[in-house]
Parts: sequence; C-alpha cells; structure tokens
Amino acid sequence: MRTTMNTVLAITVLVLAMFSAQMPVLNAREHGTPCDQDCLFLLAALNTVLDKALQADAYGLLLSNYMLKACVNPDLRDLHFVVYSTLQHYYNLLSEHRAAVHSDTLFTRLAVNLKRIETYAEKLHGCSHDKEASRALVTKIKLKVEQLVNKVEKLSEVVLQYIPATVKPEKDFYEPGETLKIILYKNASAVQVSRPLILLLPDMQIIPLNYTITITDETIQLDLEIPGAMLVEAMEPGHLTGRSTVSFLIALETDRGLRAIRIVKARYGTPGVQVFIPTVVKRGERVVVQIQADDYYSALIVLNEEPLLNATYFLQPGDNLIEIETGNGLIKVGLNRLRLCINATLRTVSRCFEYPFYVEPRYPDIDVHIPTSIVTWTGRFGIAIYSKEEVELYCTVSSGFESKSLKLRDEYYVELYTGLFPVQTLLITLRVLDPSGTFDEVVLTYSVTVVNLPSIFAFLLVVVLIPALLGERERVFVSIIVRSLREAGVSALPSIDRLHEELLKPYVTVFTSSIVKLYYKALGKIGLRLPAPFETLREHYYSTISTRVLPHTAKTLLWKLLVLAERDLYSTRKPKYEDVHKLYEDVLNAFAS
Amino acid sequence: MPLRVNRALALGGMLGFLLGLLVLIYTIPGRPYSVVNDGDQGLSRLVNEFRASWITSLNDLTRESAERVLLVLARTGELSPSEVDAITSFLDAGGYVLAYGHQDFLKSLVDHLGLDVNFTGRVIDPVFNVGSRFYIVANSSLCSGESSIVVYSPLAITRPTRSIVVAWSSSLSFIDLNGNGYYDMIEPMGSFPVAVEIEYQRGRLIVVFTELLLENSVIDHNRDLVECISAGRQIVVDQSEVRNNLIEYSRLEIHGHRGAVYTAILIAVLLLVAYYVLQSK
Repeated sequence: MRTTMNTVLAITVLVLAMFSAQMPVLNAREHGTPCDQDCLFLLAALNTVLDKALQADAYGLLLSNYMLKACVNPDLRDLHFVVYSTLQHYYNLLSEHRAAVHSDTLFTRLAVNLKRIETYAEKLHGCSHDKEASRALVTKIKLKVEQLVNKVEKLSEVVLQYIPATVKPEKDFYEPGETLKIILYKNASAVQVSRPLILLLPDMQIIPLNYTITITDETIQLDLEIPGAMLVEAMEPGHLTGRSTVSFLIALETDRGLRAIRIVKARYGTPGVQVFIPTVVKRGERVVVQIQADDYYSALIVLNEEPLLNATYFLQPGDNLIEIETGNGLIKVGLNRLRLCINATLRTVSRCFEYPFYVEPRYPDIDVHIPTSIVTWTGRFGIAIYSKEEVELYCTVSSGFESKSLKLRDEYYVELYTGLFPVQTLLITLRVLDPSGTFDEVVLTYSVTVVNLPSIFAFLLVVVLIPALLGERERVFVSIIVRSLREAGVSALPSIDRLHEELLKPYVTVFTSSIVKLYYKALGKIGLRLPAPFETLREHYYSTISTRVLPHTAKTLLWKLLVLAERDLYSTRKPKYEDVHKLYEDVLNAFAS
Repeated sequence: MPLRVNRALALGGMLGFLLGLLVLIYTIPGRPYSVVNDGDQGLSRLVNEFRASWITSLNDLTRESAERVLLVLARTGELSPSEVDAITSFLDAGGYVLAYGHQDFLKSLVDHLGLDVNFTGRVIDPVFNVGSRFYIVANSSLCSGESSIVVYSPLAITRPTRSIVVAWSSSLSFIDLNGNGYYDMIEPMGSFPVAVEIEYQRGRLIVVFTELLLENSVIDHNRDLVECISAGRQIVVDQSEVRNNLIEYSRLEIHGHRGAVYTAILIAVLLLVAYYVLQSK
C-alpha cells in the first residue's frame, strides 16, 4: 500500500513538472524606468525649440511648456528647469504689451539665463550615448543661443528707450486691419515725432503701414492699422508658416532716434476651408472636389506637383466644386496628390493642404469562355471572348505553344494549338489592350487541363508495340555483335601465359574471388583457352570444353568446379575454399590421367 | 506486482494531469489578448467593465447582427484568407472592426486589404507619454473634438493608400530605427501616423498599429475611445487564436458561461481519482 502510494505521488509530481513547459514565458514588457533620460533626445528637442524661438514661433512656447515635464535625472533637473523657463520668459517678453515694465535688469537676466543653455547643452553632451552626434548638436545650439542673445539685446536697445503713451483699445490680441489709437502727451515727451513704425519681432523687420497723425495743442494722436497677413508674408516670407500669432513692436521715429511705444500681439486666422474629395475613384470617372469656404480666397491647385489651372482659382463663400477628369494626363493610376494652396488675405495666413486619392485602373468589360478541362481529337481547342465595350480592343491569346492576336468585336472565337503531350495543364494568357487609352491593359490567366487523344494513342503505340517488335530484332542484333566480337577478341588475345592474369583482372579486382581464380588456374594447367571478358563461364565451357573430346570424368569434375566458381560469385552460399581446392586437384588428376 | 505498478502509473498520471490543468487554468496568466487574462496584456477588464462578449471563430460573425457589433480584433499571428473573407463580409454588412496587435498580424491584415504600407520602426515619445516613453500619447480624430489615445510603442508606417490617418504621434516623437530605445541622430523626429481608418460602404475598419490598446494596462487611458467608437454597439472580442491552444481554450471555456459546470466536472473527476488512489491496496 505504502509503496503504491509513493509511486503514485512520484508520478503525480513528474506529470506536474511536465506542465511547466506549458507555462507562458512572461516577457518583461518594456516599461522604461521613469527617469531613464535620453540625453541626445533632450539635445535634439532643445535644438528644435531654439529654432522656433528664433522665429518667435508660438509653437516653441508650447514645446517649452511640454519639455518642462520631460523625464530628466535629478542632477540635471534644476538646469533643465532654468533653460525652459528662460525660454518661456523670452516668449513672454515678446508678448508683453506694457513696455513700461521692461527694465534693463530683466533683459540682462534673460541674456544671462540664455547663456546657461550652453552649460545645459554641454552637460547633455556628457551623458549622451553618441558623442559625435551630440557634439554637432551642441555646436548648433551654441550658435543659436548667440543669435537669440543678439536679438534680445537688439530688442532691449529699442524697448528700453520708450515713450509713455496711451493705446486704445487695450487688448491682448489685435485683429489684422484693426485701427489702434496711440495718444502721446506733449508735456510727457519732449520729442518730435516724424512717423510711427511697426516692427515685426524678433527680427525688427519694418512693416509698411497706413497711419494718420493728428496733432493738437496737448496731444499727438496716431491712428495706425495692424498689418494684414498678406503684408507680413510679403515682407517676411515664411514668418507666418505654422503659426497664427505675431508680435509687433510699435515704435516712433523721432528726432532722438527710435522710441518704443508698445509690444502688441496680432492674431491671424487660418483659411476657413474644408475639402471633401473621394479617396478612391476609377479611371475615367470624374474626381469631384468640394471646397467649402467661409470667405473669399484665391488659391492655387496643384495636382501631382503640376498646376491644375494656369490661373489662380477664386473661392467664394459656400460650396465650390472643382471637377477633374481622370483622363487629363495629370492623373495617374495609383496614388495621386491634390494640393490646395490658399493665398493669404488680410485676416488669414496662407496655407497649403494636401489630399491624397487613389485612382483605380479601369478595365474593359469582357467575358471569356474557356473550359477548365478539354478532351481534343484535333490537338486544338477554342476560346470565346465577348467584349461589351464599344471601343475596339486588341487581344493577344497565348497557350505557350501558340500565340494569336486579334481585334475584339462583340464576340470572337479563337483556336489554339495544345501541343503534343497526352495530358497537360496549359496556362492560357489573355492580354487585352485599348489603343484609345480609355481602358487599362488587363492580363488574364486561365489554367486548362488538356487531354490530347491522338497523342495518347501515339504514345500507347510507341510504348506497347515497338518494344515487342524490337525485342526479337534486338536479340538477333546483339548475338551478331557478340559473335563478331568473340571471334575478333580471341584472335587478338596475347599468349596464354599472361592471358589468365589479364582476364582474371576484372574478377580479381572487382569480385576478388579466389574460387574463380582456382577455376582459371585449372584451365590454365590443363592447357585450355581461358574465358574472354565478353563471355560468361558457361558460354566458355560450352564453346571450348564440352565440344572437345575429353574424359567424361574430367569434364564432369571441371563442370562442378565451374558451378562452385559461379556460386562464389553470385550466391550467398559461398563454397569452402578447402573443398574447392580438393576438387581442383581432382580435376588436375583427372586430366593428367 | 507489475499490475500494481501499472495501476500506480495510470493513477499518478491522471492525478498529475488534472492537478496541472487546474493550476494552469486558475493560477498562471494566459496569453496576450485573452479575455480571461488578468495581466497587463489581457482583455479581462474590457470584458468586465464594458460587458463585452467573445467569439472563438470569425465565422460566428453574422451579417444580420453586423450593424449592432463592434469587433475587437487583437492578435499575434497572421490571418488566413478565409478569416479575411469573414471580416470583409462583416464590414460590408455594416460591422465595425477595431484591429491591432503584433506586427505579423498587422502585416498580414494590410497585405490582404491591399494597402501599400511599410513598417519603418517603432515610435517612442519621451515627452508625450503616460509615465514611460513606450506608452505614448497620440492625437486622434476618432472622436469628436481634440482627443488622444495611449498606445504602446506603435509601429511607424508610411502613408497608406486608400485610407485616412486618424491618429498620429506628437512632433517630439521619433522612430527608433535601430530598436535601442534611445534617440539617434539618423532617426526621424516628428509626428507620425499610428492609426488609419479604411472606408467601407456601410462598415468601418480602424487599424491601430500597436500591440496594446485596450489591454488591462492601458484601458484606463482609452475609455473614451472605446465609448465613442462603439457608440452603443455590442463589443465582441475575437478569441479565435485561442482555439488552437488546448490549455487556453480550456481556460476560456472554464471561465466562460458554462464555467461552473466545467469546473465542477473537473473537480469531481479529480476527487474520484483521489478516492480511488486512497482506497486501492
């Protein structure tokens, strides 16, 4: 009982252990250590943010906000915070509309903190896994920091020389075309004003503007318009790409130089356009592009990098439909891209929108009647091809053995050669072309199993009859050849002394039969011709020994020796050498007597 | 004596087998995308919290109910041509399909659908993530307004034909071409598509190129996605991959509707064998 229980338990554990093979391998999913920082990535991101900052692109501010939350190790965390909050400060400075609060200290602190970006970059280079790449990035970053510092210093030179003024209306964002009233009090500023200027930040590009000056006893009032998007893009192409807010510095040209009034921000809209285009069309169909616009726009339509219309297309508020023929040469089968580039207006920036769509090939409607298997008496079979199209189509039909070209009408029948094989699978290829270009080329393939009855009969004839006929003739032919060779061979043989060695070579080297050697030795001792290479032992016996007048006993003994030699060559029941040797001696004695 | 040994062998073998089966079914976590897997890669929470059901064969999808169903198709291996036919038939009848999974499955799906898609690498985002740079936050247009989804290290794809991009990574993400998990200078940085929608006449197919989307580890971040895509439809999870694995299939059946019956039978057999072993002399 105890032994059985132990056995059962042991086997139970063994089987349980076998289940371990079924346990799934628990792959450690990559969670990433929370602060497993990627220094090269941080450098690349910083480089990107600095690019945006140099253009005063508000997206850079957004990136800075997000980079503050990026994963950074404790030793770099403080510096990382300083760098990105400095960049935030830089953006805030560009948008701060109360120029009066700017002070030299703020600008100096900004310039100093911007320099700390270089220290941060060097530290990131130190922990980067690719030193060469990080060194290149650090060099770029340092250049950009220098440019940024120059811009800040240039801006500070103007902004710090400000004139107190009243701006109406006071807003965070102004609309393009909106009129600003700037009122200077003569007793507050002892300068002579020649004209107002609007400078695009951060590069201080002067933008032409419309303005009026009204001078009274106490005040100088300037009315000026916020520049439209068209003007800004014309003065600084690309400045509005990817963004919609711009900072301007309103300044005055005075007898004492340039004096800052206010930094203002203008907000530009993006074109209110929605495009509806089918994602898949068939060639030959029209592509109807529906453009919904909320205002008047002018646009350029580009199709696969080629302008669709030679002139600018004008969009009106509401639905605008553009119909594009797929057969116009600009559109190709496969992926196509429509790009709609809308020019800037007063209020909206310019934008390009890209829309891919796929053009499927257009195949002609043809009906092919082709059997999957045929039995043919003539070695040919027919295919019927019906075209439902009005255009003339050209068709090439190929069976591998024969190819035919034809023009398709309403119905057409073509015969093809199947070849000589009795049974085979033919691959029939149909290639249909449309010279007019309305339809795309189509290639159809069909498999047909062909049973060629004449070939089968011919094959049977060859296989069955001819061998039977040839069998008898073959025997006659072979025996003639053999006899001829035998007679020729005998006359060509050298002296007997060396002959048996020559002749035994195949047997000795190939068969290594000592019994055969004894038989040959006996023949040699008796003085009889040895078997030629082309004759068997028995053939030799019948032709040489049995026809001779010799003692019967001797012949019988020699025959026995022959049989034993054959047994040694071909049978698994090998004779004993000692017995054969005794027989050999008996043969010699018999012939000697 | 030999008879006693044979009996011991048989009894021990049966006991070990039953115990092993019970241990595997009840204690060891199942394979990825299994509805009875409570681990990070399982879909048990989708089933429990969204009252999803499951099927063990795609042929179980019926055309009649297609308009009321959202099929969650999460897989590791390739699709067979017959399975693709079942899916397209379901879509033609008005069904919605949300597909994601391992690269082999995604490759076979896009190949069968005729989309010209190349996979260039995995997207990593050290900034827009939920605690790990592999679990990235992607912007999405799947739901109304500005929405986002959390995906695990999605595959970066070339812009496919015949489809609309419906989710893309942030401009601070990069494609990890060499798979080392870190940024290298040759690796492109920017915004990359991570999900597409293919239009069908009546149905809707959304393919998200990630291994994890609705699994237990990420479902909390993607609840809105599930709710807005399903929009009242019954969520059905495909478990046909499980069918080829006996242990998993047993696990599924035991945890399923008739689970109590199967468990009771298994325990009864186990007790019977144990009783026989103890009583034998």
